[in-house]
Amino acid sequence: MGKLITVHSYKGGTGKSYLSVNLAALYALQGKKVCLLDLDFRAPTIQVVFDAKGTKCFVNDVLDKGTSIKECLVDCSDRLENKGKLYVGFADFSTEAIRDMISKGKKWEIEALQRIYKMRKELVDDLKFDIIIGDTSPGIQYLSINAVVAADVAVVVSTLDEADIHGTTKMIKELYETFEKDTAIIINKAIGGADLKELEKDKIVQDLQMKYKEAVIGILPCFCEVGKLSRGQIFVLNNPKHPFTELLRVISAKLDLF
Amino acid sequence: MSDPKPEPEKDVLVELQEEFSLMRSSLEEILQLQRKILDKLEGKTAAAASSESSLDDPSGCLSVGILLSLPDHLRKTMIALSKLVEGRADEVATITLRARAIESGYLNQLVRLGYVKKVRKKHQIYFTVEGGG
Repeated sequence: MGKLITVHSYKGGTGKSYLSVNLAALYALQGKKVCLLDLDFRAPTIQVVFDAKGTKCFVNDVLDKGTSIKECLVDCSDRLENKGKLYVGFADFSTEAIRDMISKGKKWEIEALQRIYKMRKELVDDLKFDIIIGDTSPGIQYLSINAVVAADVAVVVSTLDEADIHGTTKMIKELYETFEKDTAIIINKAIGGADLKELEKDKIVQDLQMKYKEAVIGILPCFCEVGKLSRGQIFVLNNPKHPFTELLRVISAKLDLF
Repeated sequence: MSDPKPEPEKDVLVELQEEFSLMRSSLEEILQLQRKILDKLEGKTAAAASSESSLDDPSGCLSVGILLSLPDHLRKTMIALSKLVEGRADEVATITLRARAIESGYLNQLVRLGYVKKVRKKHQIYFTVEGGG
């Protein structure tokens, strides 16, 4: 049975899209049929990594007009040198589309939740995807909440920044706990993380778990190599033995347990 | 022998009659147009009223607001049914890990609240979040 994993955060710039792309690639390389959806309609990013030229429609159309998600998916397995099955649903990145999404009213947002559930059902039941990864907009806004509510597992990406930890704690308490979501937290861009000893890491995880009351499934240190690589590259594909890839592999295995 | 009516008078009467009939048909046309405009206006008002009421009373359309307004036990059922889009009580029960009879009770509560629709297919009862209320 497939599952929808949403990748969300309280603040922007935590590395959600980067993690979404690399997690999707890892799962596909493990032999799973993966679908990566760009649900960040305010700042679409996935088109930077994968070529959106072949798309007939966008995820916006699925939520807006009820178009079948099947029509909007692009087979991007060639980016993984055909070592796995990876399909991508792009968000419309034209300025007009972004403006249009921002100006949508309450009624539209209300209907969007039902369409996200329908889309999930189509992806899991009809198209038989094992893993669907939804990269959402940061913060507490209707479209992100809709995606989180419809998800089977919600991944929250946070940094070690005080403001981020404070906001994430509040968001988890008020949103995720209310919906009894299976939630996993990933700490990304942990400065000095590469030099941290296991005991220190364990303490950070314990402290954060106490705060969030949810499982912290990984701390990803701030690796210069990751930041230096062009955004269009898929890190885990080109660097299979790098500690970032190894850590992400552990995270993917932990997510499988949810 | 009475004097025959002078011809010009007769002509004036005929002309008047023709003009009256023209005016009448014009008036009827105006009335018809007015009726059409009124019908359109009434239609638009009704549509606007229904869309406004759907915002105020979101029953019939699943939303985060509805989910938040539900008590915990019913929210769990509603989320499980939303995942299925349409399903039976036993299917909902497999997701919530509660007894089928309990889910059946909760689903019927949601039907009474107007958030869920009940559909009979042959001998089985299906519940759907689509078009609830």
